[in-house]
Amino acid sequence: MRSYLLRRILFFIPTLLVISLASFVILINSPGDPVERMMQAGGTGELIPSSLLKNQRAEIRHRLGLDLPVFYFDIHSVNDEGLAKYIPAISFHLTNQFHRWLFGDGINSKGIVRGDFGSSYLSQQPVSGLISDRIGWSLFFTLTSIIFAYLISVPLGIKAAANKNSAFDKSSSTILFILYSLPAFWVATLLLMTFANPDVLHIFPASGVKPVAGYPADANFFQRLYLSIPHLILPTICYTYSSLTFLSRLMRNAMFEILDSDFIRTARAKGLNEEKVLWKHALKNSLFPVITVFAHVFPAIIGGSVIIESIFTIPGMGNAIYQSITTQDYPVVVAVFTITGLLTAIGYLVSDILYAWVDPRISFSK
Amino acid sequence: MVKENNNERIGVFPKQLAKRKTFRLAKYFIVLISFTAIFAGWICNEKPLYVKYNGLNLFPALSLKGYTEYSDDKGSPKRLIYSSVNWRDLQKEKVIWCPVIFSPGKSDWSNAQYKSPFDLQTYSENGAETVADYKKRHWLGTTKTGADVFSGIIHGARTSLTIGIFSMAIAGLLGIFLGAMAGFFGDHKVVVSKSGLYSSILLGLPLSYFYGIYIQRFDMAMPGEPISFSALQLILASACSIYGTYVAGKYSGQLINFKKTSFLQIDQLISRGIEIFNSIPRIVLVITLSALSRPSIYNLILIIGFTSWTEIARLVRAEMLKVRTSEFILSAEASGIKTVRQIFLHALPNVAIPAITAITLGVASAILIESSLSFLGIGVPADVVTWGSLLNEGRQNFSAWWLVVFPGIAIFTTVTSINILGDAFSESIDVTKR
Repeated sequence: MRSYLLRRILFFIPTLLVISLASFVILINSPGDPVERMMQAGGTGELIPSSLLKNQRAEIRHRLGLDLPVFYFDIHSVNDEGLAKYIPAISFHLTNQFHRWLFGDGINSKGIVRGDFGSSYLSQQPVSGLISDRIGWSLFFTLTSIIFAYLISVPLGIKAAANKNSAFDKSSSTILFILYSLPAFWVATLLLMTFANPDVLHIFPASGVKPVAGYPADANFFQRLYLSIPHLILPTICYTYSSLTFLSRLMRNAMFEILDSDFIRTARAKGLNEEKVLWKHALKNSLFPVITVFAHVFPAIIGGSVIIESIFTIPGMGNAIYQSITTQDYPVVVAVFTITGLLTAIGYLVSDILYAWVDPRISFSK
Repeated sequence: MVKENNNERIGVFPKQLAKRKTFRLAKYFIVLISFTAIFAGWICNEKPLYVKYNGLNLFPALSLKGYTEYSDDKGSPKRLIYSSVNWRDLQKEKVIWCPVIFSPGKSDWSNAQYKSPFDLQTYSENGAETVADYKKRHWLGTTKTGADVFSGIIHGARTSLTIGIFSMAIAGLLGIFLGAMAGFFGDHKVVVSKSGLYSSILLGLPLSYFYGIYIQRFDMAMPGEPISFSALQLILASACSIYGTYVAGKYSGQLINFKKTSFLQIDQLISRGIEIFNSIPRIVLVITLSALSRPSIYNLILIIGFTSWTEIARLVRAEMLKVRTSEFILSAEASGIKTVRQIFLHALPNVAIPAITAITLGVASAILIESSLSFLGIGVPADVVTWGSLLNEGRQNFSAWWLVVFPGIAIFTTVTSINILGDAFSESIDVTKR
């Protein structure tokens, strides 16, 4: 098992490499010239002589490192003219854009390994500051919805499995199947239309995560949470229900298998009451697959956050990626992409380690 | 034990029947929605099916040409362009309209500003404005510009199903290919020469990049024109250069007496690749990619197709692992049947049902992704009306409930029917789930 854990953690390195490469490829392929975008955003509207403009452009280009080669090596033709263009050549570059993006150049940028994602085209502020303001809300919703989903789906799945083919089992699985096919953005819009609409029912506020006037200055964390609760209910429902359906189906099926096994029959045969068999003997063993799919629930919720956050205007990362896509602010897009990839990879790692912990028979090649 | 089985059978029977009923309903609905998707242009179109104009028999809704040439009273040649002519005010001799006389996304200013299905709606023909009767009403209301919602939903089915089916065709081919490779060959079946392997990684891959991708920039069109990328050249170039360098490496290794061989761990390679690929949240990846590319349905199909093959590949691999050790494959191998034949004729038909299940469920999720993207206004061109874009218009004005409810029902019923179909497939394999 130790060797499994070691190999699993080592496998994290190529994952990180691929995520960073994918982000970098997306960054350098984003449409538009970053220099132009930066000059437009920072421009004062004064007429600058074109020669100066050219110098300025070259200066920005140099500062951003855009005049460097793209990658560590570069495959190209020997010569662009004549037949020589069909002969390949390779050249190596120690200083390049990818290296600089990863590790920084020590003067202007610190690199993404130290949390520097460059600066936004629009606000000219560092992207990392923008992300760190927003990551809190995303994580808050992701974690609360995962907790709620587990709290509801586990008892639901057990009850359905214990009374197989009963009315409860049938109705709950039908409702869950319907919920499973309901698109989150439709549910969100319907909820808003019904419960946050001055014409119908105006119970919840339509947008944002805190009162319009803001929090009182001396409010502590719990008071702030209390003030925010009306804003949080509808988004939490939308975040929770899709993973809820998935989890309770899984829980029900896992429980079925466990209830068929020999040790449950032994427990019943020795005269334990049904409650104890279910909640003590069966539950423990059927929880394993449910806990370990944590990794599959996590990316789904992060992905869904893009839609839910933009509908409820929650200042989280999903909303950040949506807004920066509409304003073509690519450094923010790439930063969110990298961070969600990193979070998901960590989620997979944690769930694999959990799995190895609960089921030590696992091997890496399986 | 026997008694239990009997109980089980009695308990299962009515449930199976109920299931079969929902399954049949879902099947009919899918047939219906495919029919509307195929014939959307004839069901909902502001162009008439048949028109007699100036003595000419025209079929504007069916025409592929889009215009007709005729000469007016004075004999001068004129051109009637179907998409720009106002068919209602045209002096027609005879006309047969489509069942629904509105095109999607076309504004109808007399019914603008969110007319509900129950509001008083007006209709103008030949310059005279009347209260619309049932045939000329917007059955499911209108948007802000007066565009018909019903027509949008019918045409949205076409967009959704096109994207769902074609993207899953790509994902299915890729997933079945990679999954079958991983499952059939496993880690200990393919033996390669080490020198050949090294040379094809170190030399073959750069060469295939050079001849497959880099060289193509010389053949490209003028700057500004879309890049015409030849995938065939890429495949040919990489096959030639990788195999060529492998053979060269193998024999040059034999020359210097380096004859070591090793297993090519295809299963490890593909499984780890899938794991790495899965660690990027799919919706975030799709949104990012479609934000970078030009909004078009074609691009969206490619993006969704190339990001959703992993589930199919995993399922096919798992089934293939079971099939590979089965007796009929062993006997096929023992009787000297070629590997390619073994895979295609003996192994693949046995993984067809899991693959079809995964592809069916994938179509549903591709439709969901497409509609969420167009709900956010990313990826689909602005002039294409989809279920998601109608919902997005409903978000602007919550009193227009018909803009939220009807497209949502369309998405929901389609996705549910496809899911039911997929579930039925998966239960037909997994006997324990019955």
